[in-house]
Amino acid sequence: MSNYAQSIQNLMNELARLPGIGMRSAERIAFHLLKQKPEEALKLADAIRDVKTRIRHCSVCYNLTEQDPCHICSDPSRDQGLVCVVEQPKDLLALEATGLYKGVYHVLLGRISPLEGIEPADLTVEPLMRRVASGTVREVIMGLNPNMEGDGTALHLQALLASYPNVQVTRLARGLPAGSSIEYANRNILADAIAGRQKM
Amino acid sequence: MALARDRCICLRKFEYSETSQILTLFGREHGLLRVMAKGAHRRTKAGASKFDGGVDLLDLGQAVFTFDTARELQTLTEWHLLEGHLELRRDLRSIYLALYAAELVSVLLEAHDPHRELFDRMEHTLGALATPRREEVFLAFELELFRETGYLPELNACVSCGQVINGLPAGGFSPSRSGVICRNCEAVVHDRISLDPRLLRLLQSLLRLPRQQGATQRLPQLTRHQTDPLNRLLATYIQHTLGRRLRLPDYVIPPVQAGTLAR
Repeated sequence: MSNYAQSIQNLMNELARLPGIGMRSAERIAFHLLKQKPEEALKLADAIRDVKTRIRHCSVCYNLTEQDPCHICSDPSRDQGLVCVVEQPKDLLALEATGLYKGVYHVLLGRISPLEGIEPADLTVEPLMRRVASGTVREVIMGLNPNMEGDGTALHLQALLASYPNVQVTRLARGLPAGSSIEYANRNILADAIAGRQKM
Repeated sequence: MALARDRCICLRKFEYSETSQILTLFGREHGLLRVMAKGAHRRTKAGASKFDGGVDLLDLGQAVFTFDTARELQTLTEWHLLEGHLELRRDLRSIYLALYAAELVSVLLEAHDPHRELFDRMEHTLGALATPRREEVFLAFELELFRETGYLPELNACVSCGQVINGLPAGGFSPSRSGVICRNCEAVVHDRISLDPRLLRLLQSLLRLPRQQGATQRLPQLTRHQTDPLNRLLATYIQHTLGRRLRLPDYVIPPVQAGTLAR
């Protein structure tokens, strides 16, 4: 039985539910918040409330956004005919961080994982197909993780997109990451790198 | 704690945190193992990783892990990828069949119970599922798995009266009685699934084929018209026997109308 007041214990329990935070860390954070001025500590509560009330999925690409459509989908300088399909909003942010991609996105909100019971109906596959059926899309780039489930999801989408012969289906290149060393690459990475070699 | 080394296939994976994974491995010498791979996705800037960048489903690798049968979760300390099945990943049907094989192994084997021949068989099967012969290869593996784990249903004699079916048309298959039933007994067995006699003979002949170095020899070429009903029959049977629903049959076996499960 804990000796903490119920409200402190509640806070610690909630913090400990966050990923990577155990009871010791929760205790430390709780006491840090207790030491802060009320207006400072309540900023965290306000931020959590804001994010849960304002953030929603973009009705076009399913990215997380405050405005609908999101700033990418509503950007007239973006190529609306080029759609990069990613698993999670985090993947979209990683691609955006390169500053090189000028198309738009479609976030699946997961990947097909038969062993975990995640089916195509659990993802935003239907909205993607509706988007393609609208006729504005000319290329779909598979930006899914290069693992068994990611590849399976890409193949599933490719099969669905086969009924749109005017839509080109591509996938992100694979192989050696820049800045890495060949001696540390596993055989899958090297096999992909050899298969996807480019003319210099 | 003592470290063990084994050749393993990854049957299940769960991304535990940003960098760590919990895996179900099928080890050649150690059977089913659940391991925690701490920092599996962590790499140095040059790309070095103790786990070859993380373990993926169906990967074959050389694993080093703590081994204590009293513990449910072992710790993976090293993983060297031997085969990542890139060919398999180019075909959705091959992926689903391979994942179904992994699901069956993970539910039919007990933890820490080695099955060396079955391991060799699975390693060979995963490679062969990327070829045009995947349907018959999978069916042969499924039968071998059932035989090795003691789940093979009776296919030669009626499970009700004992009459040998060989050569005679069967009255059907009973999942609850784990085998075929003859025409005389079909009226008293209520969970009967109809079974085409030609498909029953095919199953019987597959079980008689010689095996060598992890593969069934002289495996006949089969079509999905033959393998789909048999996979459906075996899936119905094993799900009934285990008392649980498996996930991959929905991806591997096309649905049919009620009452024609194995026709």
